[in-house]
Amino acid sequence: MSKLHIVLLILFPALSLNVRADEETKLPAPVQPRLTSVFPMSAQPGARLEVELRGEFLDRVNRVLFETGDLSGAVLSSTFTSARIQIHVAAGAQPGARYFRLLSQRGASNLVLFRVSRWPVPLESEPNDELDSPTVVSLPVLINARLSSMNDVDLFRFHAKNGERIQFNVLGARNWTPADVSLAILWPNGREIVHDEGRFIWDPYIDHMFEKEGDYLAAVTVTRMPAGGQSRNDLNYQLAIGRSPFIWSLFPFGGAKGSTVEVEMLADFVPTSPVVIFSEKRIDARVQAGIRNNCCKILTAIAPDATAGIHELLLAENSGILAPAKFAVGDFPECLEVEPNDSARVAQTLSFPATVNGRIDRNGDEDWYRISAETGQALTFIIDAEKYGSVLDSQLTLLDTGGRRLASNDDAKWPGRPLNRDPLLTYRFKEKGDYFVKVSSPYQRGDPDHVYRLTVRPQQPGFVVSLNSDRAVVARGGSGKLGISVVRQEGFEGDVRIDVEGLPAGVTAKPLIIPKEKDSDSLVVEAAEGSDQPLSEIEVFGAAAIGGNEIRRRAWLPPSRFQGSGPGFSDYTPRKPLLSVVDAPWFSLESAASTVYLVRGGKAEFGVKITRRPEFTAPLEISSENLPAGVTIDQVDFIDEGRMARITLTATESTPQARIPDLVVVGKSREKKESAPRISLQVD
Amino acid sequence: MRKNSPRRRERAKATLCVFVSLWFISLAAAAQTPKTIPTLKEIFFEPKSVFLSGAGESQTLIVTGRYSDGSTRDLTREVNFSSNDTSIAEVNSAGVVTSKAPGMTRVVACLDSTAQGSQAGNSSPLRTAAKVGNGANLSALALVVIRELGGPRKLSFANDIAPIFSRAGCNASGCHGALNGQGGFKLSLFGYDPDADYQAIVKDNSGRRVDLKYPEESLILLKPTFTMRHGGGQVITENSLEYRALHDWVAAGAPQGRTGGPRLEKLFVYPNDQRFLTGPDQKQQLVVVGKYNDGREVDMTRLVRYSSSDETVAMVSQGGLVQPRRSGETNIMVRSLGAVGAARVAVVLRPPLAAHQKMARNNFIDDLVLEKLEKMRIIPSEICTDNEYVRRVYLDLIGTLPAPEEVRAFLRDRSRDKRTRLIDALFKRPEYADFWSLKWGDLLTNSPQFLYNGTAYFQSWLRDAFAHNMPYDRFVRELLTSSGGTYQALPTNFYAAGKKPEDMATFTSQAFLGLSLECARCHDHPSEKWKRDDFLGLAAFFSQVKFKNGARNNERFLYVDPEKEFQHPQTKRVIPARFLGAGNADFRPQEDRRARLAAWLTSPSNPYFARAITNRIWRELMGRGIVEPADDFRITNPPTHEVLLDRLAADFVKDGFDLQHLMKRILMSRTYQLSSRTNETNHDDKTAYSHYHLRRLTAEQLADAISQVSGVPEKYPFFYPGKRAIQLPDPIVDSYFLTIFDRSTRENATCTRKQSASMAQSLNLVSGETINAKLRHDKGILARLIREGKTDKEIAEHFWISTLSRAPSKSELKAAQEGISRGQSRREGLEDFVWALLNSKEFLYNH
Repeated sequence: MSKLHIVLLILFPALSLNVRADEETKLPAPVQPRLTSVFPMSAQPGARLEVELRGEFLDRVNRVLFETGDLSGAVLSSTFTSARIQIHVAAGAQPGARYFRLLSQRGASNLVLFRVSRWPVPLESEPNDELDSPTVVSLPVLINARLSSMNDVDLFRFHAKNGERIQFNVLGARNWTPADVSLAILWPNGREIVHDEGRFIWDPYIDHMFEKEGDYLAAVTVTRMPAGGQSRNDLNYQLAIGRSPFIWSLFPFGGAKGSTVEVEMLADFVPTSPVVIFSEKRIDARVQAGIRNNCCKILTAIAPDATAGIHELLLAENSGILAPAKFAVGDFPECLEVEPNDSARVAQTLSFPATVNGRIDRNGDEDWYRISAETGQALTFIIDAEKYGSVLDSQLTLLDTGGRRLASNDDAKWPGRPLNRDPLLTYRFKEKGDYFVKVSSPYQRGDPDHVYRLTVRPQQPGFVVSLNSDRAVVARGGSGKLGISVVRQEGFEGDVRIDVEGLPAGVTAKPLIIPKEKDSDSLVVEAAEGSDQPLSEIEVFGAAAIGGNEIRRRAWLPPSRFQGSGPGFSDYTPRKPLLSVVDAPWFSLESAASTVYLVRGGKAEFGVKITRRPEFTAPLEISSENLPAGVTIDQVDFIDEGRMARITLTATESTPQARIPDLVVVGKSREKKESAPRISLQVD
Repeated sequence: MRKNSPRRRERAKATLCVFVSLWFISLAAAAQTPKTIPTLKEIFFEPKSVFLSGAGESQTLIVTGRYSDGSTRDLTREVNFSSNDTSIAEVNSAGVVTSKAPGMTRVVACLDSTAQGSQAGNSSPLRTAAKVGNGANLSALALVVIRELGGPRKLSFANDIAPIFSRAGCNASGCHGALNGQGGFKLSLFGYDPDADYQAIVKDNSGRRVDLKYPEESLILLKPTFTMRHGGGQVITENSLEYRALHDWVAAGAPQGRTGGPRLEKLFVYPNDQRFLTGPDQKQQLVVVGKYNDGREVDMTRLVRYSSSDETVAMVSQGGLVQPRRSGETNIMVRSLGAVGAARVAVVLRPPLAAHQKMARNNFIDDLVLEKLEKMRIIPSEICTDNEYVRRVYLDLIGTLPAPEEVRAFLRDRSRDKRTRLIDALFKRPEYADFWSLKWGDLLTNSPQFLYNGTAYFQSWLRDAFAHNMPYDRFVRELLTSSGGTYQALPTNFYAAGKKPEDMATFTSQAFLGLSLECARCHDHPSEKWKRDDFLGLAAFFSQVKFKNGARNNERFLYVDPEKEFQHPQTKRVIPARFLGAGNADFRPQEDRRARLAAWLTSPSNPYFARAITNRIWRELMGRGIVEPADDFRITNPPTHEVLLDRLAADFVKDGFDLQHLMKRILMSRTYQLSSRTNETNHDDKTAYSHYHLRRLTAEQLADAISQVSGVPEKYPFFYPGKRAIQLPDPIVDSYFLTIFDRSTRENATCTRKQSASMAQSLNLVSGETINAKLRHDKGILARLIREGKTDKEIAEHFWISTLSRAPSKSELKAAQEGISRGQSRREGLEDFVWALLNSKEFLYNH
């Protein structure tokens, strides 16, 4: 008896029970397209190229929507699990990351990344698994490649000169793909020179000086297969080999409005005359001195009307792989940490409100600041570091002059941020007097890249509202939900009222108040039958009464991927959430198993649950997409009054051993066609 | 070229063989013809002084004779004893001194006059072994001090009764000392908790185990004498001292004595240096003195339990008399009341050597090893050939076979220091760092089971440490004190996931001190001095270690919570951090305790640290530790060459904890360079380092060697072709070959790889794809050599040197060519030939 037989014997009664329990209330729900991979992931300015997308529910995609206007695209074809689109990059497009999604009658897909580069962007050429058959590349290069299994190896041969320093930068996690890979530089005979498993998130980065002129190999392999089996078709990555600027840190990484700040930039591969570009136009930057020891000074003038908040700093370059560094514009007076300030005895005095820019510049360093507080005064202490790209995971400690610890914080809640390890502390002082604020690393680690900003200001009770997704869908004549979270800060404990702007005609949102004892809920959106605007940009707000004032704040959108931080990480956040209004599906399918195991020459059964609108009773024709050669649907039995399809697959003896990660079951009735979510098929 | 022509080589080899044979024959002849008989130079007491408290206390003494050749012998049964003042102390003919009154006197041992003048050939053991030298001191004195007597000493359960249960084995782990006891009767393991034992014997079960009115009806007498049915059988007899002591104690009302009174602290075993028993009837009496924490010393010779670590070498009676059985070394362990001690005994039943052959000595290792070999009457093997040396040192130091051109270059080199220079060159090879990081990965459990994705990161740190020859003290300090993310601060991976402070105490003591403390986790160590509080005190250094999650998959950040204390697992009282055997640690506020632990642990004055790593490295290179197992240093498992271990450790410390210096010191010794071929005096030697210990190649060495010889790299899942097995970061990398050849699973700290022999191994080598597919491969070396038009002879010679690091003999070459010609095709014949080489013992073993 096959594994599946056993699974089915166990699953079917349970599934049947579930169906009966839910059948009265459950209607087929709309599902939006989902993209899982893009290949290739880059193009040069002026290029027009075909790109293969993979995912699910892609069958009706009809539009490519870029977030910026310098790239455009059109859908060429699509199936349930793949789509081919054509992308056109404007000739004047600047190198860097771009983001797009697909639109369809089902709604909007998630965002995916595409990179513009002036470097050559070749595709790997398989087979390139053996030492004597690598893909040959010339430098600089941004290679588009993909791995398919734990046994797959991508080998690239390149030439290096004696004394040449070359950067090898794999973009996997930072391209939002699940490719967790390792990189090794080899002699042509396969002996390893250097390797890296992943410096950024799980992306390897090697900066190597070659001591001998000759041909070398770069080998990329899977480090660990993501969940879902031994083979995948979404392990795409880019390998940049060349010399592209790489910013490690800025110090200070912010300044007050109306001030001029000398910023020290620590970076590698910076050109001799770098051009600095700020995303905030009211910041003027001028490189003050040439590069010395990977360090240069940037004189940064911040206009008095510059927008407070986080902005981006870029160096003009060609590869398109440079990630921006973060630069903050603050509302309060700012100063720099003055060493030595390593103990209470030599603590630096701060008046507040103020922001001090410091760094834990060596192992074991502690930065001490002295403040004076009044009796009953409540102050808030905020560290900005890791959430804006610093490598510092900081710790904040408040002490009295006797050295007694009054309060401390290591990791605060920072909604909407990929990492939550920056501290935040609010403290009400019982007595007037001097106190110390200590900033340190819990690991006693430090170097010049461990930069931070400490802001001390009076307590400001408030809250942050954030959305769980940047896209919602609602069926005409039905309702949809948008998850919302609230984080109350600095002593605020009240209710938060949620409201929405930008809803199209015929769509309404149910009033929602998140009471003080809850920190999350769902906003219910309803669409009338005749709603005819398929896609809208909406805005969600939270409002609360604090200190007698009505405070209203725009909800944060989640970054497109929560995969980490640090240099090289791009935490792009879409502008506004999208609401799609779609027709409710007539039926939906859901497989009972996530993986089907099939033995060559054998059969396997699995169940697919069918949910129908009450008025839809037509018979369904069951087929599939992505069945490998040699495997066919042998039989389909409808059971449980048509609420379940029992599908029997059969494999010939000659079917190759394989794992198919994106098998979908398709149901069809005349022009109505739906698929189940992707499952895996393992043929052994 | 002429110099190295095969004919010349053969001739040279034949000459060498003749020379070696003649040399060996002369040694063998010398071994059988003793020219001189050692003379007795002096006799002396052990212990040299006796301190007794109270009347009727006694102490056994032994008398040892020292001979002109430096050997010693137990003469206790050969001498006459007398006391200078019998009103203070008496001594009987067995050497037992008994106190009579306070005061000080001496006891005298005199050798029998007939023995003094006797010659070898008489019946006495003394007489058969030696003659007495002229002018020898043939009497010995021992000081006897009797302290204030007072009234009769009160019986104490802890001091007088509990040792009887240890001696009879009642509280052993297989009997009532088991976790749940036996038959409803539970004693503390090896008697480490006498208060609990008293409770169990006298109070529990309504006190039915002792009958105060009719003592002989007590269960504690009826059961061990088997008067009543007893699962453990008869363990004492009714006429024994033990029975009498138990009976009298019950008759006296089964007193507990003073609770919290003096506790046995230490056992001293005499003789305290290694004794060599050189005749089948030469016995050695042991004397055991117990030292209590009030300063009192008590003769426990008849109160302790004795056991021999190798009963095939020597047995020990429960009276402490050691009897030899076959040549070899053993330790006699003594145990009582949670204290332990050991005596080291070597049995040498080989005929004496007239004069030990003078072997060239390269450094102090050879001096010390040869000194012992002489005592053991063992002739060391000859020095290995250059072919053997180059293969051996490559495999031992970089885990890799030398390539044919490397072998040839080494053989061509005529300089005297070429072996030394080869060692230096190998240290610089990347494979050196790969191989030693693999070994340390085994020891430090570098496995996804504990580190998830962190294995490659940890391996890269280990690799860098070995590549740059990081001083070992710094290496350990960095491991112990690291903080930060497991993917950035790479030594933090030492703190494997899910390990508690107790786990870290076990792990740290095992890895860096060579101490197995796991027993002391739950109870006092049964065969060491470590108490449970010692263990918990060590664990307390790790109580501040905490983790939080990072953004990446399974990424963890280690940080120190200075407020966190370590609590006793049961009582929840706070346990102070305590250095092993060195008292409690004091800390400054907010101090990271681990830094203090690391400073103590890596201090040059730490008695364990340098010795443990020295022994570990010695074991890796020599095949057997001076202490074996290498992570089980304990009183009852003493070093086989204590002075050598101390000298090596001192040299290692003096040279700045330089691992390469230590390895080089060992590799340069002639002892390391001895042949694995044995002679009739050392074929059964396992402990004295008289020859190189044959070792099967480890799984990784073997896999890489097959790939290297065939020229077809193995392709491991997740890695590029060419990644060698010694470079793999963890044991999860799928490889059936590595698994069946005993790759470490790293589920526990692996100090020593298994060396199993299994059917799966044989079948894989004989008919599996590991060898056969590589030999058939079109891109392999065999296919290339055929394409290049090489002759069968040239191909045979190539593979001979690439597999065995030597050229074939004429007869071997002839046989090979004949074998090749018998193949169904030339290619097949050649494949069969290489297959045969790869399946030969000479290839599969490091020799």
